Amino acid sequence: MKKVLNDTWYMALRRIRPTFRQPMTIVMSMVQPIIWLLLFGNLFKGIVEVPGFSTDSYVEYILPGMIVMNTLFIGIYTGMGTLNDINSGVMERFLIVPINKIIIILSELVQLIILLLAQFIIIILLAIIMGAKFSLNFYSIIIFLTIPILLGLAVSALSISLALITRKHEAMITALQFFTLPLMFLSSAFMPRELMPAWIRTISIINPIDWAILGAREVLSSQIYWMDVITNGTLVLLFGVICILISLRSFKTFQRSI
Amino acid sequence: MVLKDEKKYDIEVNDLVKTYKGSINALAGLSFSIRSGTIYGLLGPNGAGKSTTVKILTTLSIPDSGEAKVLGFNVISQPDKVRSVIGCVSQRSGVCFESTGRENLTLQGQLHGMGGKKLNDRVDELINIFKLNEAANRSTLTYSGGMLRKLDIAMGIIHNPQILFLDEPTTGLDPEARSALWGLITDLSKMEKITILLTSHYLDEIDRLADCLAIIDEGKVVVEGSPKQLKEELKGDIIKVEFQKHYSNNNAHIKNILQEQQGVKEVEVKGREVMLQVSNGSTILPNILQLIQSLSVEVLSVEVIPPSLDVVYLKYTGKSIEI
Repeated sequence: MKKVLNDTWYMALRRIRPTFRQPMTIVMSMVQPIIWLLLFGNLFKGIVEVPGFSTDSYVEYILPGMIVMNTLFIGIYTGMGTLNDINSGVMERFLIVPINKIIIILSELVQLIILLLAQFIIIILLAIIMGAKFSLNFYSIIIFLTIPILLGLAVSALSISLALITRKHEAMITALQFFTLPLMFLSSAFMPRELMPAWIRTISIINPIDWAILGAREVLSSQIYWMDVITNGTLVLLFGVICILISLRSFKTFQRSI
Repeated sequence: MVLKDEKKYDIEVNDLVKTYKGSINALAGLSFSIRSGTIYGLLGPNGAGKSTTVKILTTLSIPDSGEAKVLGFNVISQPDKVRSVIGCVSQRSGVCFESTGRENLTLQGQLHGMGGKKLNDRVDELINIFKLNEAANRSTLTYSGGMLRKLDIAMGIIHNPQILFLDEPTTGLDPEARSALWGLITDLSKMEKITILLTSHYLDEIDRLADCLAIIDEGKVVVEGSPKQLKEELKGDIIKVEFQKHYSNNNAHIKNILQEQQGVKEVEVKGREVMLQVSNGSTILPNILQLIQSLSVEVLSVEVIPPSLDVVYLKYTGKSIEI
């Protein structure tokens, strides 16, 4: 176990170092969520007057959705690094050292978590400036951030998996982009379930993105139903585990094709 | 340090078959064995299955059928055991371009379970051996092809493996870097008693380095032996005659007449080319030419090829080596 964590860290360093050598990457990736929050937050400002919203501030309502959306948009690109590794021959080198393949997946996720945390801080600060109010303590912040991160890990694992199977940038990104935006709208990111058409509500129930949003949003509410947080959090966690297992399988597929 | 039995085989390959999607038959029943502490050369044209063999032996690729053992460990059922005793320098560079040379080396060592001062010392040692001192802390994006190759090899041996795979290690290197690398490979074999599997399509490289070699073609071993043995088996030279045009009607006739000549061991006619295996090329050549002219066949060119691996290669694969 210790070796797995150590190796993951050593391997993650090779992604993290260049990011910090060029901090512009982090700064640039912060811009996108700011734009989303400003656009959506202002465009649909009046929507909270519709009965069914639990809050008076739409920014407050969409904050979890924005955080999750951001996670998805970054997560789907994780496979790009994998593709670079495949094309440069680095992947072949890593596949013949005596390490567990899960280290290759986990190491990609360390970088993702760092990027996400940097963005979350910006988004939350901006939301507060735009008038969102929430009572958060240390633990609820941790849980509030953990759930979207778990979803990010799941999406990253899928992205790595697609990279290993398709071995093409276009195929990988197209496949993932095809799902992300529609799935955002098939969740309660912008509208509570109560206000959705019935068929969308049905889909949202089996939509992992919605599990993450509901779980995170519950933590923000003034009266937290911990059961909701735990149920949704567990579902997201399970989804993540399944995605990592799929990703591990994909290494086999990849190895059979080379 | 485990004392190795000279008679022992470190690598045993038995009837490997591998087919890629799109029905390319990469390996069609490949078998060979490599003795402990020797350099074994795999020679063959592009697509003969050299890299596929290395990929299977290094546990990267999974064969369709057949068995392979490295130091007694099965590459399919015990991949992690195999991985900890081998080092590999693939045809393509495995250098990570987001890191410096030193970072690449350190990571490779860490993944092999090395750490602390021992790893630092080993990294410094390799940087010295490969004369990468000045570039060690620079991004590998600035490295030349030769420097990348050196770094690849340094990464391949950082954990002092008992078995080393070198898949076309000198491709793309300048002559100076090539001969330096040859020296290094010889040292690794002689001083550190590492068993090395070397693939190449440079005949001179295999001739010079390998204790034993196999020529493979279309996924099978066509001949095996030491370079000396294989050259001696030729017992003489090859005369290659090229005609001005096709004499397809006469081919059989030409062949019969040439075959009867004293000193000619074997004749092969292929299109406009005739290949004669002869005991002494330069003395027999005038006779042969006279004979051909008497058949009123016009000759375009004549070549006497002394015994070399090229000839061995030509004889067994029917192809000239292409680079």
